[in-house]
Amino acid sequence: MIAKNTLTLMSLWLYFILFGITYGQRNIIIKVGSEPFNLNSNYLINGVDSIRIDLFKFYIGNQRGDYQLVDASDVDTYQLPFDDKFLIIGMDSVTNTSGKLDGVFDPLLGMYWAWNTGYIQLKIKGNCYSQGFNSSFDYHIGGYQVPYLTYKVVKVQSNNAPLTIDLKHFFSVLPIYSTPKIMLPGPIAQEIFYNFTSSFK
Amino acid sequence: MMRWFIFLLIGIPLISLMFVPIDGLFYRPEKWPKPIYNFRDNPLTFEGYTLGRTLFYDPILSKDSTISCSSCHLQFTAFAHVDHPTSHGINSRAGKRNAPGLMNLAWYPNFHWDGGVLSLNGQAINPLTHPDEMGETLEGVLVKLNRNEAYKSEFKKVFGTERITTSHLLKALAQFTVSLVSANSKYDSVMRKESSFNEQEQRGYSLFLKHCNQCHTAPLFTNFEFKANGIGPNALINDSGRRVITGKASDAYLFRIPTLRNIEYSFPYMHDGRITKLKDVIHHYANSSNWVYPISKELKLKNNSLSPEDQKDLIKFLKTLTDKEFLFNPSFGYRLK
Repeated sequence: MIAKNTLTLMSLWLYFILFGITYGQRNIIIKVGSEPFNLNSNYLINGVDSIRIDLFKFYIGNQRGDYQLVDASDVDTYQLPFDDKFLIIGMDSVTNTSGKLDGVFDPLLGMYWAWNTGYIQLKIKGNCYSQGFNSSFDYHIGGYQVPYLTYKVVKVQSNNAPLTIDLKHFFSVLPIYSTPKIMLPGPIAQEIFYNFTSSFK
Repeated sequence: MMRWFIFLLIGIPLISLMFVPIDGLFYRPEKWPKPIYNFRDNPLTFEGYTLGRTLFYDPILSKDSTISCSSCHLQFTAFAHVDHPTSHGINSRAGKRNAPGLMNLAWYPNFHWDGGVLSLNGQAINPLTHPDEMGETLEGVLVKLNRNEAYKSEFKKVFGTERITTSHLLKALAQFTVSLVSANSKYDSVMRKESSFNEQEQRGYSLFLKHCNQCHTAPLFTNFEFKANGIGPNALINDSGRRVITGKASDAYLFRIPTLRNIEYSFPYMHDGRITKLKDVIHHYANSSNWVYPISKELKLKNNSLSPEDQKDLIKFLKTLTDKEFLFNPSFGYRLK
């Protein structure tokens, strides 16, 4: 069985070398300041509070309509199957509503609003400890209707470098105490989305 | 020469066979607008339609295998839920809204009383997963279907794959629901000049064109917009309608203008099913003193001068929208396995 897989891989490689077709890839590195980001780890924010993330998923795509659902619980998803210089965080209205519903768009993945059609672009859930108090938060961030769009094109610094995301500032400005829960598009969701996109370096 | 003759002899019947609609499958009635549903994304086949039909009638889709789509969408009442003001689900839980009739869905730009659902394919996720309806999860349904050898082989015939996925399930269901075309009522035959209205129906039709057609626009008998019809918010059910979707204050208590096709059979009426009799619905529209805010301008502008006689005539016309062929078409009914 292993031999068969190896053979398939080798023949694929041969195919790529012979025909010069390579599917570009780009790795994502997620950090919090100088530390690597992991689920269920504590990070110091604003000097005094400590934040811990239980769930972290977001969509990233390119201008040709390819998308990847990056999920912090599965590091394999940190490897994007495309290497475009311009990447898209969020989705336009066509992608949101075209009813593809398979692959990375499968509603099974928990990123689909069935009753108000559209995809959740960023899902983040966790806790914040501040002066002995524990506050939980849960954000489902999305929206494609004017004015509360969640869509941004980001430019990657260089062609070969991995895409680095630094969540330190994003964590420090989450409205954990004023709005601990968001399940709908709207102005605060949009603000959280844009703070998230500014994490892309 | 002989060869051409044989070609024509075999070819013409073969080609004409391609245009004979398979009983039950979707068709576009003459002079109707272009359907909105994306058939290229989900090409209709008889196998796909049949699979969707089997699923529609199978309670396997609900959490405890007690409720199927057809529990709230019965064919003989135009796939609405007779005698139940709002839909009901597993463990006798009641929903918030009146299960609407299912017909001519290929022409709908969006679905539900609030228009929140933008594709027919994605619609079925809502009743499947709502705790007050089928209460299941997509994971749960797919596990059950993938364990069922009969379903596995049917899905394989339609989609060519071993494993049943979310989009296979939704597309199969949509192949059936998109095929529920109702376009053969007496009204339709009059429009095709195959029969004619009697005097009372004709008077009702003139009243309809004057008072109702602006919102319940023929041939689909809805313009798909969201309006407030003056019945006022339901004090027992907290439901602000279209506002839930758009977040706009001006959309509060607006609900979809429903189709009037098969209206005789799809009682009870209104988004929360609060009116049981068609004559009471007409009475509501004909008496502005009954109206409660909000009231959309289309209704406000009416001079609602419908005499009791007018109201009777109008009902006679509305009954010409009953399509018995649709209501009793065996191709839409429960499929014996």
